[in-house]
Amino acid sequence: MTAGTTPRRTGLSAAALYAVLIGGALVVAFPFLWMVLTSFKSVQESNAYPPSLLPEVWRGQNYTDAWFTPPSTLGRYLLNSAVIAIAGTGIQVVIATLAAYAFARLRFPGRNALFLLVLATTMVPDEVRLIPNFMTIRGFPLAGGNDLTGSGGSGFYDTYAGIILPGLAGAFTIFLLRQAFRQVPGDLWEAAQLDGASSLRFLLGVMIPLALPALLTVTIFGLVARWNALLWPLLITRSESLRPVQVAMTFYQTEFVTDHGQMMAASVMVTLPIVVLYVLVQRQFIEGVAGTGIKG
Amino acid sequence: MTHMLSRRRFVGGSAAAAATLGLAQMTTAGALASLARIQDGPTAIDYWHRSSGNAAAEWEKLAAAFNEEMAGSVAVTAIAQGDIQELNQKIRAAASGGGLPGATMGDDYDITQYAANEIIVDIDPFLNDPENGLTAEEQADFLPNQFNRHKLTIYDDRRMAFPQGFSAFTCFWNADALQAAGFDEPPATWQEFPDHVRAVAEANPGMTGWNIGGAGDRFISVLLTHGVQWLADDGQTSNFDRPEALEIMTWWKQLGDEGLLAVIDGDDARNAFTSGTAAYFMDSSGNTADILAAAPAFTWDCGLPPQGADNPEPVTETYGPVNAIPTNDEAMQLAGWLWLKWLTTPAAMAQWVMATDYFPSRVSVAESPELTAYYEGNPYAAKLVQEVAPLARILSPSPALTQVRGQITADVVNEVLLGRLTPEDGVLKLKVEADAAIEEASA
Repeated sequence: MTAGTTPRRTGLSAAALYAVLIGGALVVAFPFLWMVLTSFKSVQESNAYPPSLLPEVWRGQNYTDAWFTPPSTLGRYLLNSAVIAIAGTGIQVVIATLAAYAFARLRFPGRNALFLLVLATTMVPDEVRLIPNFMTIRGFPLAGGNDLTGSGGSGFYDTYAGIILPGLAGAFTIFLLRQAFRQVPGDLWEAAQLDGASSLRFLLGVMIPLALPALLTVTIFGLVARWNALLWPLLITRSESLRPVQVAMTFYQTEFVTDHGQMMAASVMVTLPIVVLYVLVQRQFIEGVAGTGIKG
Repeated sequence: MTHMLSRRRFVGGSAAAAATLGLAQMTTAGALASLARIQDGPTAIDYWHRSSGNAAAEWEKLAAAFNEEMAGSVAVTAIAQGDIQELNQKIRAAASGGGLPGATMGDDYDITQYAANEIIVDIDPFLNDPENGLTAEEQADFLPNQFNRHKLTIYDDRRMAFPQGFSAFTCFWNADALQAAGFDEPPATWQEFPDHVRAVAEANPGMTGWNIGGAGDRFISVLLTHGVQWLADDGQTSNFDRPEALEIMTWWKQLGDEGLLAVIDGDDARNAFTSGTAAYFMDSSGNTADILAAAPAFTWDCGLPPQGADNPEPVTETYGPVNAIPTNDEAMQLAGWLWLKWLTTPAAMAQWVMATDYFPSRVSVAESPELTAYYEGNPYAAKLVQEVAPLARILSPSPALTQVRGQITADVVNEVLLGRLTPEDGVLKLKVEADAAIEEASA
């Protein structure tokens, strides 16, 4: 009897599970679907009330218009975002890896106190840091015509360096990588020492390969955060030729009406690189999230 | 004794005024000399704005035209700095870290904040400068409410911003729907409005009355059209304990319960109107062109919103930004002023009006040949510039306005409409929280 009902129960449970998963997937996918469908609507149709799901007339012209609307075209902003995201994230991951390794494996006086100090910086809201960061970047000594005291010029204002510098030491990234490094068995380090390996060699040869999912996770977090950054790049630049793609997105909205078709076409083009990146590394990303204990 | 003291004060005050005027003229003369000293290139300044889309592109064109006209003396670069909040943050960052622009756009409550922190300078010395200012005749050409929009007692009677274009709280209505209920136009007073809306809805099944886009903004705008500013004359407390506030909250709640009024997103409110599902839409006058473009399948019209029955002078709220001159060296300030002054020349102002659907702040520009074709193509804007623009004035400025309007009032209205608060409790809460916000902002 029990044996007879188990497969049916299992089948029912599986069906219920799939129904819930499909429902969840639809909820998550619907905004993307809406974005893509709206990207083909005319301004009248995208502003119609009540709204319709499918466009009456498919307007591919929105993509061309969206590309040429921002000054210097959307391509320039995409390129800037790519430079900022790749360079900024790359340097951040290198710095965070070294710091996390030190906090996870090296023994030195005040290690825990220093780590707490690093963690404490996550409690300072971004808004509070904006003006001090602005002052630091503009008053950076010997940069942009500044003298040794940081006066006389504009420092790193309106440069890629100015956009990238303040985010290079991320406490959250250091914390995440430290957690991953701590999960690597201590025996491996002892074995490596017997083989005469230095800390750097152990980090490069053992720790990093074992913590690759966590590294990919922080890389994705870093890339996405920089790709989506608006306020800081806006604050620290004046040239459109340096500004990232989120600044370009502001050009699709006018004072009284928004051309949602054009804006969604731009959104598709802006979101696509991040979606492709996620699809390529999703398995490692999920492993990394699970391994470091991050939740939603 | 009192008379003697008053006389002494008068003499002292006059001397101070003369000294200030003399100093201002010297300052301007010094600035001119600074500009003249720069022989090898123009004084380069940035102009920061919060425009986007076509308006941002228009700034580029205006700056190019100005630079051509001022070749060799001033060159301006117009730079988009995001939305209202982002522009405000950038100005505050630059005020601390350096790099303020030669001129900046600002909204009314930004100007109050900047003035309090000495981030911007008085415009009167530039305006009244014999060489670079505007003549008395030119000054008289501005709509008084716009010209003196930021010449206020809270700034010690200094002029902290200069107008360009503006818009105003405007009533748009579905004329066919009103006609079906036997009305030629909206009621003149808010007191008649609820019954009017009920009659319109009854005559037009399936149609709602008024979808409000932005509860906090509209509540305070409607209060102003009763002749009641949100801020009391002392500048220290709000006016939400006035009977008009409770009156508005009560009929909003009643119409809300009857399904004839709802708070929705601003774009959705306009779309509901243009698609014929709402009889009214009340928002910025700048919406005329977009409603025309949406080509509603009914006859529509627009005008001054209804007024409070006891309001002696018709009034509506001014929307839209103004321009200010940040604290900089003399040459940059003068260059900033020359740019702002040039923006109010008829051709430049007309160009800006056509790009943004704002009202011009100068009377002669509204009647200029440059705008004839524009107003012929948009008769609604032509009507509003005559009937509504002169009546528009700003809300009493206070650094607390953003919070009071955007958060406190919006939250309370929503709570009342959802039935979590009675209208009486709602205005009570509004009064307490708004007063606390004003006190905190003043501190």
